[in-house]
Amino acid sequence: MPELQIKPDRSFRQKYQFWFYLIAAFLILQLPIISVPFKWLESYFHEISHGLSALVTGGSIVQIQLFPNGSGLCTTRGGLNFLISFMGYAGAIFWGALIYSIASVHQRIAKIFSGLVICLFIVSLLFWIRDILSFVIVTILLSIFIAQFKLPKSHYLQVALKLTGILVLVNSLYSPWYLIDGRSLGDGAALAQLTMIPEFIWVFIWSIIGISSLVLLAKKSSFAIK
Amino acid sequence: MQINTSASQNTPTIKHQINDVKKPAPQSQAALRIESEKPPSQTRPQRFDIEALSQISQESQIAEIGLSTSKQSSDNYSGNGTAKNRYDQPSQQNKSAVAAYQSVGNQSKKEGIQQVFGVDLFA
Repeated sequence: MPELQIKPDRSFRQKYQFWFYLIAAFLILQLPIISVPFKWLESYFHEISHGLSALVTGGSIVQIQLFPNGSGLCTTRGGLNFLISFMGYAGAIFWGALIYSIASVHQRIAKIFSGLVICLFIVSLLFWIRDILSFVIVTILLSIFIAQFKLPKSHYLQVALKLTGILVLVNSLYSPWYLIDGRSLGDGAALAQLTMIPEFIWVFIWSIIGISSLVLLAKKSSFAIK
Repeated sequence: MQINTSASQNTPTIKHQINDVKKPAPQSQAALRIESEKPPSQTRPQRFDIEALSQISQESQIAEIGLSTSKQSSDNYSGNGTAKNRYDQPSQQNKSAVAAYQSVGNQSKKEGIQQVFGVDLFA
């Protein structure tokens, strides 16, 4: 009898774990101080996506800057401007979904992936961060990931990574809407200039990508139980 | 190398400057010879004089431009080599080739500067 009671409870937790993480992420983002590093994290993944797109398309990263208010700036040279501009918000969504998905696969894989993200932070600090403020912010983010990596049980690392992934993803859903401010600044304006497609269309596209990723992850987590 | 094109200039000076610059054309040389046989007081502005002077002035201007560009190379030669410098001066074709070569060098410099400042910002 006790086994029968435990099994459905565990299944319920697993079945709806994605929604738990999502609610937890929404709650954390409402907290004044605790939410700040996660905004920085989304900003970091946004800027590093710009930078990596530049590298992939034959350009180079000159500098990555992060600011305490959650904004950032990536200075690149060369590369394909369209892809670099587009991949800021799309990349942050991708990183969020990737962190959550990989953490869900296996504890060992989660550990390896966490190690790779730590390496990316270290590379960023060495090559692309050139101001003290950004250095401090990235060091804080690095220490969060190192703390997660050093958690006593791999299961905790998985939970922490999943929550981090969802936090990045939810933040990525919010952030494109800051572009609708009538100032024609940022990636949306850059893409509008390049393609003659209005800025709000790009914001809409990023939002669709973000919502689709959330739906995909929700479906994936429910399928995994079956 | 200062050549005044005014008709009232003394002819010996002009002749000396002609030798300095370049061997004049036979017609202008003859005209100058006639001019130099007369005393300076009797010099009258005549058509061939004017022609000769204008030709000299043209030639001297060309020589001046040539000398200003080939000044560095002329320093290597001794003597009163204004004419010599003239001979050492590279031809127009060579000059354009050198200019093209230098423009390639400048192009790389320009690209270097563009690379320093030609960056894209993504927020």
